Amino acid sequence: MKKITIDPITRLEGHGKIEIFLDDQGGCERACLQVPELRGFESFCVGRPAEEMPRITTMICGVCPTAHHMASAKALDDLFKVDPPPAAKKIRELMYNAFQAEDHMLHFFFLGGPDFVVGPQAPSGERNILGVIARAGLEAGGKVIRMRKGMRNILRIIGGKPVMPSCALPGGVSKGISKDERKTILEAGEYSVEFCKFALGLFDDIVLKNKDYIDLVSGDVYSHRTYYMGMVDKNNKVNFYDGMIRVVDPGGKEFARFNGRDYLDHIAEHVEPWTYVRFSYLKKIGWQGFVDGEESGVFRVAPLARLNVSDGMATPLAQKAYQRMVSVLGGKPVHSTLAFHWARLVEALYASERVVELARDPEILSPDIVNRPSQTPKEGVGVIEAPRGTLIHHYQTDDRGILTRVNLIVATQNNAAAINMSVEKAAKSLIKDGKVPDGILNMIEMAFRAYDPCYACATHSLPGGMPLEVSIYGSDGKLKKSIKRG
Amino acid sequence: MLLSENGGQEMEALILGIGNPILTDDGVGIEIARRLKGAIPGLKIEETNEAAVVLIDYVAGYDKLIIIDSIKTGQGRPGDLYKLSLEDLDKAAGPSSAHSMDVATAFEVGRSLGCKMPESVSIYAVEVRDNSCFSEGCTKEVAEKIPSIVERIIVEEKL
Repeated sequence: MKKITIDPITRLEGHGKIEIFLDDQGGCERACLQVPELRGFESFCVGRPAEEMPRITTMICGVCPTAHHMASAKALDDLFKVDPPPAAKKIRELMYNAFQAEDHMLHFFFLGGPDFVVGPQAPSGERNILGVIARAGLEAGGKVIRMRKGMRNILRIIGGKPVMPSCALPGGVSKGISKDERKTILEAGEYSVEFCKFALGLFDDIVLKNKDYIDLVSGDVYSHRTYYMGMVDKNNKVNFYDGMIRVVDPGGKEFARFNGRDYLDHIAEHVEPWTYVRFSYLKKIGWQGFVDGEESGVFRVAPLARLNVSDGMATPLAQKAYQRMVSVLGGKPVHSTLAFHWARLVEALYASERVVELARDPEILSPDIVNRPSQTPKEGVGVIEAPRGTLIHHYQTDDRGILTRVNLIVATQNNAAAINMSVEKAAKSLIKDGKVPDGILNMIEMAFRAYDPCYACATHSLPGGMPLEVSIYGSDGKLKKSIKRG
Repeated sequence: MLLSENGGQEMEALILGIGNPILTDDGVGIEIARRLKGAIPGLKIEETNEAAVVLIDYVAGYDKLIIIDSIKTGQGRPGDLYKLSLEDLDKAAGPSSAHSMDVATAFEVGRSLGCKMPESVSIYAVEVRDNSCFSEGCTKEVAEKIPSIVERIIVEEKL
């Protein structure tokens, strides 16, 4: 059996490698995604006061610190049985939507977008942000920078700094918003709305008008009929900060709707010997392996899943964009993995509109921003929709609030089974007769890049990443060929 | 902070500590940046555990940049200090990788977007032993070297 190793994956936030095992005929027999393990997080937390968690969990990952901060804050609300005042919830939601918009745009323009805007078969050296700028124009690059700067400034205003925020407390937030700050937030939000409209227009011009891309998006290579999970408000509209968890089956019918506190009744984890990642699956269906369909407990989360479980978006412009996407792709649920990119843009528009809505809300200036906890803590669960999907924090404490158990189910873990299935399906479809040229390898990587996966990627040691390296092993296990790129 | 350099010419300088402060030696860059601030309170310091092009957000507009990060070559002893240039990183990693975008490509992207990127860049990297276990503080081998590394950077950079 031949063995091909791609390590590390280009443009994946974190480190990992795809292993592809070829059969004797040179086709793909099996493919899997492996990631390294960061060890000892639970033991690091146990014994500490629970209220330290919003600060600690932001440091797990340099990619989605605000998501961990908010999930942790909500877990503390639940732990101490304290409901934040309305203004505090709005401040948290405003900050969270600013983060979501900024993070989605980072992915589209810098990580996932090059596959489309530059082209999946383009030389690897051009499939990056510089290639995007070359296609979309220098002006587009300047707009990306300005939009992200504005959103990150909102995180700085509310959270103290754009990364590793420290504003959320059990029962509220530590700081209100002044009139001057609101003006700055509003300006940034309004610019972001315009920018997201521009990005959707760019997607229209470069992607949707290209038949090859449409064939790629709607083709079978990148499609899986799975269950979907995401948070919705009382009207079944997408909500990132608060609501009920909804699950739909591969036909789009509601399968479950539950309070995040009850996640253990619905989500279970499967372990494989070849990876540290635990694979989430629907408990009531059961683990049937890496397969899709109604009989399999595999489900997907993140932008496309959220749009699939919802009845639309709660803001007007995003709702229009949502309707267009669903219409072009032939109705819900959309099963094409590559449609995650489009869904990401729709969500970024929603998040930007929500920033503006909340900034205009008179209550956002209220000084009533925290309710003091008064009950003895025992157990709390907090759920948030991270950019990469449903994120769950679950803490147990003694009666002094000292942590005795910590369980996190992170977004990429919920998508992990589907990511492996997508990688394997793409590899099986694209590798023939042992030929694995650069363009095809990138198309396999596109399968997981669409999910925007993130595997506890807080390690930032230099040089950070090596060029993409492909090692091809002969059936005798010896290295036959090594290809480096980058 | 204005640094005096090159015959008294004033330069707006930033010291950027990169790493994760709860991932053992991964946080060594942040720890050194904090100690530099402790030694010279007027220094402008930023800390981040972010990667990729986000670096542009931090460094654009400064004349001079000093980056302090960890490195795992596996060839040196924990606590060894390397001084690198952007060109060194350019050679090590091409622009198609997310993490190679950390510094070298971030500069390329920033410049191509018209951002004013620092003209003077020094990159210090400390060889680490453990950057995969959650723990506050560095391993003993790395921690012991931090005071001398701080002194060396102060001298090298004329802080």
